[in-house]
Amino acid sequence: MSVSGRKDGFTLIEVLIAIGILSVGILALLQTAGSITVMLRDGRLRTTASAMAASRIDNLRLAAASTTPSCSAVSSGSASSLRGTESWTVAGAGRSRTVTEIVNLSHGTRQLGMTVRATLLCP
Amino acid sequence: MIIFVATASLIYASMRLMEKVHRTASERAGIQLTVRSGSQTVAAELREVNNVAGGGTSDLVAITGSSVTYWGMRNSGMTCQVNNNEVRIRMGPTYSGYRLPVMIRDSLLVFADGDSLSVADDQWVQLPILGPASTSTCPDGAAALSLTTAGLVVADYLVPGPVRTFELMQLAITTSGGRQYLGAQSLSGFGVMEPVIGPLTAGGLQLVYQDQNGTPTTIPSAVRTIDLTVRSQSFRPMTTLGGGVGAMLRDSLALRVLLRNAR
Repeated sequence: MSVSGRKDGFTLIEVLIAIGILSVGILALLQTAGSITVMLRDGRLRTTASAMAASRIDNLRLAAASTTPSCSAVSSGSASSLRGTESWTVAGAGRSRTVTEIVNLSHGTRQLGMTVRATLLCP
Repeated sequence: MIIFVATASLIYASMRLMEKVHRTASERAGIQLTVRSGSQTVAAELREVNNVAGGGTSDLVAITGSSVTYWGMRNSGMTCQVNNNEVRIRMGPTYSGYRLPVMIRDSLLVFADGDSLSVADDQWVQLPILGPASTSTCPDGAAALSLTTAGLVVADYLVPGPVRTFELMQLAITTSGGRQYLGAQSLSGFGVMEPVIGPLTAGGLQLVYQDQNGTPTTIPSAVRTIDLTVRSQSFRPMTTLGGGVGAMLRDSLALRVLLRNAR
């Protein structure tokens, strides 16, 4: 009768290799989670920035229509709030104006700048 | 054995953390989508509203801080033929609408030029739609949409002239399943208030109306801009790292809307 020295199961080396491979996978997933968080934060900043820009351009449209001749009260400017800062320039003459709105927002160390251009009609 | 247990515990803790991070991210994406789509939906509906100051006509029927009743535009185009009881709208680049006009539910607004040399008598005349919309042709053979109406004085209208269809709508907070939503109801279509976007926080729809000078007003025909704020919250409270019940996630978005057709 012969007795083998081998027993069923994994060696310590095999277990450590398996744990190592699993750890690499988990680290990759953690990195993905970090990316998702950053993308969500950027998306929120972009949403806020576009809402600020749209609101400012509507304010300028109201100002453009509130005077006779129209657009005479529309001018460049800047503003700041808890949400961030914005500046806008108005160019052109005659029956239309081109507005360039720049919004800068920050959240923690993350900063986002957005530029929006729109045309105002001066009927 | 000690190394194995320690490493396994670390992996388990990492997986729990990832599960929490992904669940939070999913909820955060959801509430961001809610505030984005909520504010854009309300803004798109109210932007087309027609308003004439000084006691004139207004598409804003009733306004409160959390609801608005208005005539919402559904179709626009140019007439190609006008009879006493029929309006034909030219189909093509000048026509727009996301659905066909529906009788009773929608009504017509046709521009009456009157004296073409004067703007003093220009007006938008509201007419009922008394039959289902049907396909037809313009006098030049082009495709048209035929709408049956009544009481139309042909001499008042220039052809081609602008025409729109409108639906009486209400936007307000509504409750469904114990949660609050932005709700929409077709009043002219005898519909019920349907939850559209949410869930929102209590008082999650805030509307502030301003006149020409930016002063808050409660007079519908004086409204020129509307400041709207949408506040959303997650479907369920977040779980803490220890497995306990955490807070609800919340987000909000504020937007100013200028009524494009206000004068």
